[in-house]
Amino acid sequence: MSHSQSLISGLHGFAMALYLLATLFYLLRHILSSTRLGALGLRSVLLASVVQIILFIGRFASGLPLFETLSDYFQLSAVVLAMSYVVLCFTKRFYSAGLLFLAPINLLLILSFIPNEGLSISQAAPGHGYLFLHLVSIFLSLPIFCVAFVSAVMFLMLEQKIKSKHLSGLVSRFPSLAVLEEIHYRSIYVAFLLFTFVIFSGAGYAKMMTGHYITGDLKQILSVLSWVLLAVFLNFRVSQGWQGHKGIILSFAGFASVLLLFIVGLT
Amino acid sequence: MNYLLLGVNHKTAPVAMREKLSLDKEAVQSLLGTFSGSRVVPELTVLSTCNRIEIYAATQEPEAAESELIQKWLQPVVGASNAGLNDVLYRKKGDQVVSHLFRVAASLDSQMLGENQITGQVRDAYQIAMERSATGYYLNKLFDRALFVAKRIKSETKLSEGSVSIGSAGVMLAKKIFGSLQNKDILLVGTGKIGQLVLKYLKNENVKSVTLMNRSFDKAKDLESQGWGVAREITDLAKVLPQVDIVLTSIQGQFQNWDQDFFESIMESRKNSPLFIVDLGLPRNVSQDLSEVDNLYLYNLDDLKEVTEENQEKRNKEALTAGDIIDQEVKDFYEKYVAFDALPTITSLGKKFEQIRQLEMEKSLNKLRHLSEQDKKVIEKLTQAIVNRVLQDPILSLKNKRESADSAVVNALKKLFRLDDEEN
Repeated sequence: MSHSQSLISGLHGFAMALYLLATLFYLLRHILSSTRLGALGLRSVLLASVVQIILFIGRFASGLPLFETLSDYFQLSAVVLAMSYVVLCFTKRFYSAGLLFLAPINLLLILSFIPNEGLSISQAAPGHGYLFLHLVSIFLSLPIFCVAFVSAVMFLMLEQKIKSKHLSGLVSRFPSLAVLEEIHYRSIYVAFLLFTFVIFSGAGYAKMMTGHYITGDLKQILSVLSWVLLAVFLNFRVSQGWQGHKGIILSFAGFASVLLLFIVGLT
Repeated sequence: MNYLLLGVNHKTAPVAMREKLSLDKEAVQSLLGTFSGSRVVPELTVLSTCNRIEIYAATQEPEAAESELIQKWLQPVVGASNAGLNDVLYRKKGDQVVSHLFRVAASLDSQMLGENQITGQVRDAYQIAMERSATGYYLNKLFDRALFVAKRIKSETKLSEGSVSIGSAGVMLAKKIFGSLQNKDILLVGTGKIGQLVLKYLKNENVKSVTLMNRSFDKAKDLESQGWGVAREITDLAKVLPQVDIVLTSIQGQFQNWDQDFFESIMESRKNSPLFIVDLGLPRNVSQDLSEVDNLYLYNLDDLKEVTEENQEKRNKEALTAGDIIDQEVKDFYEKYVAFDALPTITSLGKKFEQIRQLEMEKSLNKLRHLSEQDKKVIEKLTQAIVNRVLQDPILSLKNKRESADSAVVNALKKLFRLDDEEN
């Protein structure tokens, strides 16, 4: 292992340790009801994401490929999700949702540490351009879907507390239902656009590799199904007023389909 | 220097008495001006709110200061007899004053535990006194610390969290549903007092519009003339419901047609945008089944009361933690204050002994001219050591003994060693 590779690996480990530390801070924050621990958790997330960004910039500056293996794409997803959380904290007061965001962040990082074969995009000619765009858009849409999913879960938790008339504890500190619903809708909207790009770039890559845009494999079927479900949600929300509880339940079908697609894609 | 407090509050005096004794800003300034340059009351601050009127003073002569304050503040209001005043007026001295002000500033002494207004009122009272140059080192130190303690308690406890009144609970819930209430439309059905109370809280959030309805249209019109909103006939209810976000109801009896089917159609016509219904009627105006309708949130008076009681209980628990913080802060403050109060005396005492030592050394050395320079240095060090050893215990006692706050020890030392002359 070269010196730069071991440095990269060490910094990845450091970022992972910071995320785990943040998770610990948030856990203790809920047990001990100390807002200071919450602030420490947020700072740890911020620091970890800065370390990851520096890593990407460092790689780019030193002439190394930005994404060599699947691990790098998972790292990209993790840092985008972490930064989204930080931005939501400062703009929409998502402070109490730390653990809900750190769960997928840690999962993405764990996946990034699982040894996998290099994708060798540079050698995947003739469709390497499509593949690169395909993978980047997948791993950018993934954290945005996570934001939508976490917002949806938060909405349901808060709504249940309000409806049952026992608004207390951690959930009572969530942003309002209107804010959660808005974040949920907007993130699905952005993820949907990226997902559309995923489908087109995937079809382009398939054409390069097989000579056909449509191959009819499971991935393509699930992609179209997910896209349709998300499109139905976005359309119904605007035309039929499917906002709030009903719309969120429908969006879960879209999430499930995307998750299944992702698992199929990985395997 | 000692602290003195005279006051009445919501616990000791009925509102009529408090109204009589309260002072507006001009009256406070005038009272502060009365004591300008006073030897008996050199430092003064007046805190006058709707729940308390308190006068804080720093004085060397607490008894004289008390009678002077009573004479200038109370006697013009209640007359020379002070009739009934002794039952309602509390007097505190020394660390009791410190503890009381810390509790007041942190809103532990407020009618509504943990309310936020009082800290600002304490700050304003202090500001007014400072502008009139009515405070000095002692009250500055006391009020600065009280405001610091209030801030500390706010950040370290949850004393001010959660709504403890029906109105604020309604606003809190509305904000949990809608976020900002600035562009929200409100409908008040029924003109009962409780409905107006909750509406008052909501209007403070700069809502977009308020529609008023009542079975008697004249009553709705009355409220409209008072600036509460726009009156409409109750027959328009079904037309208005799809256009509003929050409905407050407080009528006699139930709405007959307000069932799930009716509201499902209402929700459809409003494209499922959330609707918050606060049923303030007794008996309830709205069937509880409505809470099963999507995006419709229904709370009744009992639900709101439960929210406020739960929060009050939490605040009571937090008050215990806040009380511990205050006890510690009072102890720390008083120790620092005592050390500070004795500091001029300690300095004067040291100076006096040093002067005596140098004078006597000079006299003796003039008689002992045969001594070498080294011998003279030995004697110099010897006398210094004697003085230091003699002063060690009294100085430690001045710095550490809490009793010296009452100035007895300090005054005794000043008299015994004529330190006032030295200080001057």
